[in-house]
Amino acid sequence: MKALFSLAAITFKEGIRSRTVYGILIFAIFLMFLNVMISGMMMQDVAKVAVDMALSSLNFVGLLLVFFAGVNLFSKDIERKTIYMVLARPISRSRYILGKFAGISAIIVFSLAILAIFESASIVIMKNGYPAQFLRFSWSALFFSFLLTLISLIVVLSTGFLFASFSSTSFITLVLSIVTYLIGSSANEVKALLEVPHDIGERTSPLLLYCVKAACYIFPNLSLFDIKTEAAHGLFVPLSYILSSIFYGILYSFVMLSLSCIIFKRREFP
Amino acid sequence: MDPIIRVHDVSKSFRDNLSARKVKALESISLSAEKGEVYGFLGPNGAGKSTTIKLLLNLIRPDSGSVTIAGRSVEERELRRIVGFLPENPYFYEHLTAEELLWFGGQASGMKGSEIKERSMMLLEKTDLLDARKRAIRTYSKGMVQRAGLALALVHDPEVIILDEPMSGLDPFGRRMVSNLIIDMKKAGKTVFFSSHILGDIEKICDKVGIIAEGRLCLEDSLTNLLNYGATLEDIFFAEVEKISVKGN
Amino acid sequence: MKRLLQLICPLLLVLILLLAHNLATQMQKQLRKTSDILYTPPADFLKISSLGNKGLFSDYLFLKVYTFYGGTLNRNSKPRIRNEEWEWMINVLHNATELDPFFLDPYYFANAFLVWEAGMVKESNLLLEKGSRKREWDQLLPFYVGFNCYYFLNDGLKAFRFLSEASRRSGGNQLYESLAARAAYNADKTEFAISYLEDRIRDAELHGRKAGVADIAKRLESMKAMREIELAAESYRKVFGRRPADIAELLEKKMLGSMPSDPYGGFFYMDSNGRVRTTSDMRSVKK
Repeated sequence: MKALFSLAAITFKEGIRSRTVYGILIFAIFLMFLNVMISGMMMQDVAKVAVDMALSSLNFVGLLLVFFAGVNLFSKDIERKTIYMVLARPISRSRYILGKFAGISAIIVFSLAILAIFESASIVIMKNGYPAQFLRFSWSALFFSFLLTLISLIVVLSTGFLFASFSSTSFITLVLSIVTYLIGSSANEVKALLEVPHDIGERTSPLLLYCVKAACYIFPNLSLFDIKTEAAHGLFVPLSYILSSIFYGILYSFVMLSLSCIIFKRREFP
Repeated sequence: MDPIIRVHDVSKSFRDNLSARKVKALESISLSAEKGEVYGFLGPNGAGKSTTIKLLLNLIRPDSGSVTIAGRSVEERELRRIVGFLPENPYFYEHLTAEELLWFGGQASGMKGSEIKERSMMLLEKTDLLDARKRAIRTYSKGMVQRAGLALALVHDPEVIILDEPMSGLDPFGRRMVSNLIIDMKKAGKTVFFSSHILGDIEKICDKVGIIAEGRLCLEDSLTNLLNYGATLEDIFFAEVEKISVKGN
Repeated sequence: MKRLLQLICPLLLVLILLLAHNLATQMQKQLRKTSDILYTPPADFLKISSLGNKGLFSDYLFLKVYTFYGGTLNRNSKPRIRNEEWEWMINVLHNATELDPFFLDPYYFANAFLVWEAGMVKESNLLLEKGSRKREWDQLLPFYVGFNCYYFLNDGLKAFRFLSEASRRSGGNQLYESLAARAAYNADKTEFAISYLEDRIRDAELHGRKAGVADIAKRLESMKAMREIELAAESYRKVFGRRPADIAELLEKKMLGSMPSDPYGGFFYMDSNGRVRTTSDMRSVKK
């Protein structure tokens, strides 16, 4: 446990001090001003646009962090053989994965928390400027959407870990996890699109439909974590929905990490 | 007494990524080091020195044969509590400081906080990194990185110390420092297993020498026995390696 | 000399770069002139490619229309905005509301500009109806739909439906209520108007709203009076096989007991189509 914690700690320190994180934070400040500017252009729904911008930029910056700071921190460890200094310790391969995952997750949580503060600040600014447009706005809906976005990023990170556990270069890992993200966040829409003609009697190839359905199960269904529309309009989201999505996210990450542990245990580091 | 490091009849081959052809890296290697010995592992580049060392750390696994340290299989995780390792051309998290690196090493090996502090200060002083201990490793020179790696390998006061090319990239001062460290460890009753291709260094500090070429161990004997014949280590090395190459062709 | 060169060379390079950029953008303009910019990808495609950021895409599409419209304000051409441009705008707005059906601005824009400026009432109303369905808390959108039906499309029944919905959502906004009643009346559905107003009064009493009840009651009274005359005219038609010429004829043939009085102070009369109307037009008449 101590070993796991210390690995998480140095991973966090290493990640936080790298320039990627600083760059992303500067970008975040830029996005905050952009948010104030763009949502101020709206005629009516200032609150909605402000929340949209806040949530989407959080999602975007989070993805940059996952791909370029997160997945890289793990796969570079193997590529540059810094992993030797860890595996030479009495740390099992599984603990290595978990410690690394905990450390990188901490980086993401920490950076996104800072970003969320900036984004909330931009919303406060807009709220004071246009109080009449913020009547339906709710901080709790915004918070839950932040939370689910965070969970979805952790899920994407866990798929990155799976790929890093067997691929030998960080580039392949990066490409595979980006592709997974793209499929995971659009599969549900594609499925919905294919199912509509089915309902009105038009024929789509059943094979295609099966493939897409299978993709929905295999790839992380990231649309489950998207309650941005609800947050933007202050619509009611039942707690049971939020809890079940979080449960799904944690379970999916758990499966991904278990698979990575199994693969990693057998792996050699020549 | 059983040898503390024992590699018995180990073969290892790697798959070539492009053609599915297997490349033999080690062919029925057996070697052993007694407790308290300094074992110099010699061989030309690509002979299988690093492969053997990675086998000792369970970074790779043998196709056949067995590898044990202190009578226990190297696959045992807890075993690495008593093993210290310095990789070849070590590369560490570059935004950490030497102090943090040693903190991690100690923590991961299950040491107490105060113990880590004490030992790391002692080791940083010995490796001449005391002034640089709060600087990111990124700013270190190659020699400093090597020394930090050495301190990391020793932080948990291991019984068995395995060093892959500890002298490479060091200036004469650095090499003398490493030699002295190895001699200190020997005095403290530790076993040191290190690979090198700098024959002079080995001649000065080793008790036992193993020479490897093309994945085969061609000679293993105590240094005194070897030098009894009047030849220098260099002569023996060249003779043994050439013998193997002729056989191979 | 060398220093001077070191200074001039980068400047020259920057200058050439600027020229090259200008040239390229000129070429780009030429390119864009031939191919039409009035294109918007289908909503389904946008949904998929938004990767979970549908709200943001919707914002972007709306801003595109909004800034396009803003850009046309400097135009001198007649008409200022071509038909295909209006169509493009409504398509983009449609896509924006497919991506985020709760987004108010596209509906608002459609009502403000497409209805009043382009006269695309039917198309806009389709959009507004969707918004009214989705934004079930919003009183403004059903009001827009109802108003447009009433004012532009002469569809009193639909107007009544949406205006009464707006009134329900607003919790008894008097403007919506009176418009709803008026729309029902204009649709020749005085019965609707009466039952609607009765319902409003019950609702107001139930929620303890005193203000405004008197107004509704007054309108109700007027409507009831007109309904009475309408019924009398109906029975007259059954008996005599033709429409009465005016209300006096109904009184004469004892189809109507007495001339009801208009609480607004006007007089009831029958128009050329046989519809019962009042000179007050249900607005208080100063005597």
